[in-house]
Amino acid sequence: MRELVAGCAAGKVDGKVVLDLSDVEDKQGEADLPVALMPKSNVVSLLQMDGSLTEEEFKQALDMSTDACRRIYEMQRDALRQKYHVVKDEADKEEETEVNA
Amino acid sequence: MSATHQLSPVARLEQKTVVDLIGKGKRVDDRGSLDYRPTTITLGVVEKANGSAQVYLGKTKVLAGVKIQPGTPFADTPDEGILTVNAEFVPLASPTFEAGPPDENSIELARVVDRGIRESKAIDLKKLCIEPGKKVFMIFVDIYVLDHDGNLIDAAAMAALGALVNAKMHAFKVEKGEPVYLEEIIPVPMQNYPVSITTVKVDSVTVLDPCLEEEQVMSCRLTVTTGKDDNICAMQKGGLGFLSPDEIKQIVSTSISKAKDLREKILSNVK
Repeated sequence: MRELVAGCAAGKVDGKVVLDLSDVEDKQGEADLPVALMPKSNVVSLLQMDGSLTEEEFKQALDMSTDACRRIYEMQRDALRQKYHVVKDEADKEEETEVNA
Repeated sequence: MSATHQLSPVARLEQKTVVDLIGKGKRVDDRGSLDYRPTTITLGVVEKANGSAQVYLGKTKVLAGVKIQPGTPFADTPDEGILTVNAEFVPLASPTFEAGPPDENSIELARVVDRGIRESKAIDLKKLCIEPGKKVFMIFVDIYVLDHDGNLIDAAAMAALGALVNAKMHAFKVEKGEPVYLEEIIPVPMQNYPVSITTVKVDSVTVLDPCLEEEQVMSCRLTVTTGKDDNICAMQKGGLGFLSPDEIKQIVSTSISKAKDLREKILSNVK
């Protein structure tokens, strides 16, 4: 496994570039741009777009979604660490009781 | 196209030559990295269709036809005409194309072309309404790939646009919910002209308008479709490789200016 992949969509609603479109925003908004990023290598592995964006708006939307992907990546990483932390704690405890016994 | 990974493997040596050349800033057909192949577009090649266009992009050859007929609108857009895009990879176009139901490549091609036309609002679908909720005109765009030498998406998008611009229909009035056709011949109500530009990444270099040999060694591609106001209306990344955000921005910016040139060329064919 190379690294974790994080995804986040950006879009345009009422003339404003926004992140994480809701159902209504997706249907009635002016653009939708789903992005998946591998944050450590800083490369995009998925990119699609439909709607209407100027070049500037697109750049802004791409920057916003890649930033969001980096934040989501941290949460993914922390969640994984947290999970294995709990497992490690439990394993340590078991070892302790075995030693005491 | 991601037709690539299904192609029979080109000799390793040949592939290496293609990659090495691109690494040195050259290409198998002596083009620069941002050069588009010579393009010719001929309109009205199919007499019985409402509209048609044949495109040569280098040796890639694509034919598109437009058929217009009345039908029932979708429930969520009762007052809008219907656009349907289909693509067929004719077996004689490439040794890898098989007869039979459409595979994922021809479906992707049709969807990317469809998205460009739909999202740029190229056709004023409201003008194709006969009776809201009951009857509207349906526009069928059929794409036939006749020769595959790379970059089918751009060639198909160009052919589809050409066929739509070329398409004619009878003017009509509505009587008792049915269209009554008049003498006058009118064009399809067009309000935008979407053009697709595809770039592929080979090694660490990006090149525009890939030929077949280049598609076989690409890691990924990015298609950017822009409308007449230079707004981006559709994008599609394909292939297993990656692009950095900076590469994407660079590709988008180049695609916008290339699309502008190409659009002028297509439209100059019309007038």
